[in-house]
Amino acid sequence: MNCIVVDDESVSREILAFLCSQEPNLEVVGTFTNAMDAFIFLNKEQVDLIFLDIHMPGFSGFDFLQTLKGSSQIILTTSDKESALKAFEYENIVAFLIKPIDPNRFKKAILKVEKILNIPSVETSTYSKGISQFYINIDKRLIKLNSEDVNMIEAKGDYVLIHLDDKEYRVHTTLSKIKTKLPSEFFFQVHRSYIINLSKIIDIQDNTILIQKFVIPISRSRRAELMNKLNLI
Amino acid sequence: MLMNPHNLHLELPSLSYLKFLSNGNKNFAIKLLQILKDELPEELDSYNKALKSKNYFWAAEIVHKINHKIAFFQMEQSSQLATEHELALREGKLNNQEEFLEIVTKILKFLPEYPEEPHELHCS
Repeated sequence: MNCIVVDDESVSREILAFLCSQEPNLEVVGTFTNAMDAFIFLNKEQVDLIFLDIHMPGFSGFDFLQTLKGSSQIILTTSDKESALKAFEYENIVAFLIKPIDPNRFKKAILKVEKILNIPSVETSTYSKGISQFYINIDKRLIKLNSEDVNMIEAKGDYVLIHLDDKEYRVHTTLSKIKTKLPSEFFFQVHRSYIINLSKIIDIQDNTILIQKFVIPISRSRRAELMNKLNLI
Repeated sequence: MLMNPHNLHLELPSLSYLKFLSNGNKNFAIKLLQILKDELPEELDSYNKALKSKNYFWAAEIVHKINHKIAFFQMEQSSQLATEHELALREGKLNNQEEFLEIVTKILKFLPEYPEEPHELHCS
C-alpha cells in the first residue's frame, strides 16, 4: 500500500519515513510540509494511507480533513492529546499517534490499516516493549530515570549510587531491589557491589570492566555468565 | 497542574527514545541528531525575534515546534512547561519564558558537537 506523510516538522517526517521503511507493505510516495501541497497532490493521485499532523500553521490537519475526498485511511499524529476526541468525529481515522511516536504503536496502527484493506501482514523486525523507566526517591522527590541512561549501580552500605554520564544519585535501597526494576537483557550484576549496563562497557581486561572512568571488578563466579551475555566474535 | 521547579531543574535530556526508535540503525540516529542540531538554534533565534517584535502568536508556534524536540529527549516536565508557555503566549502573556529558555539551552549543551560520533549510541 502507498502512503503520504503530511507534517510541517522535519524530525517528525524523518521518523515517520523511517518507520514506514521498516514495513515491507508500505511505500511512501510523498512527504509534504503543509496540508495544501498534500491536497494538491491528492487531487491527482490516490493513496491508501495518509499520516497527517494536526497542528500545522495556516491550513491545519482538521481543515484538511474537512476538505478531503476519497477513501484514504488516515493516521493522525500530534503532540496534543486533547485533539484525540475531536479527531474521531471524522471518517476514515484509523489511529491517533502521540509524538514522539512509539514504534510499537505505529506497528499496531499499520496492522489495523492492513486489516481494513485486506492486505496480509508481513512479519517485520520487532522492537522491545518500550523504554524502560523507573523512579527513585530523593529528598521526597520522585525522579524518573531511563534505565538506558544508567551506566552502573554501586552498593555503598545502606545506599546505592546510580551512575549516569554526568550525574550520580544516592538512593536508600539495595542492589537486589533495584535489580528487579532493570531490564535483565541490558543489566548484569558482575559483583556483589556492582550492577552494570552492558551497553556501556568500554573494555574488559582480566577480571575488571571499564565503564566511563570506573574500573569495576568481576566476581570469579559471575565471569562465565557475563561472557555468555556478550556478543563475542 | 503545578510543577516542582526542583524536578524541572533535575530533568536531563536523554537519547533513550532515539536509541529505541533507531533500533540499532546508527546512520538514521546520526541523521536525526544532525537535524536537531541544525534546527534547534535556528528555532531559538526565530523565537527570540518573535518576542522582540511582540509577535506572540508566532512565538507560540515556534514553542510548539520546539516542544516536539523537548519530548523527543524524554523531558516530560520540561515538555509540560513548554506547553504552558505556548498557551500563555497565545494569550499574549510571557509566563515561564525564563524556564523555557533554560530548557532549550540545556538541550543545546547536551547535543553532541559531532553527531557522527555520539558516544551514547555505541552499543555492546
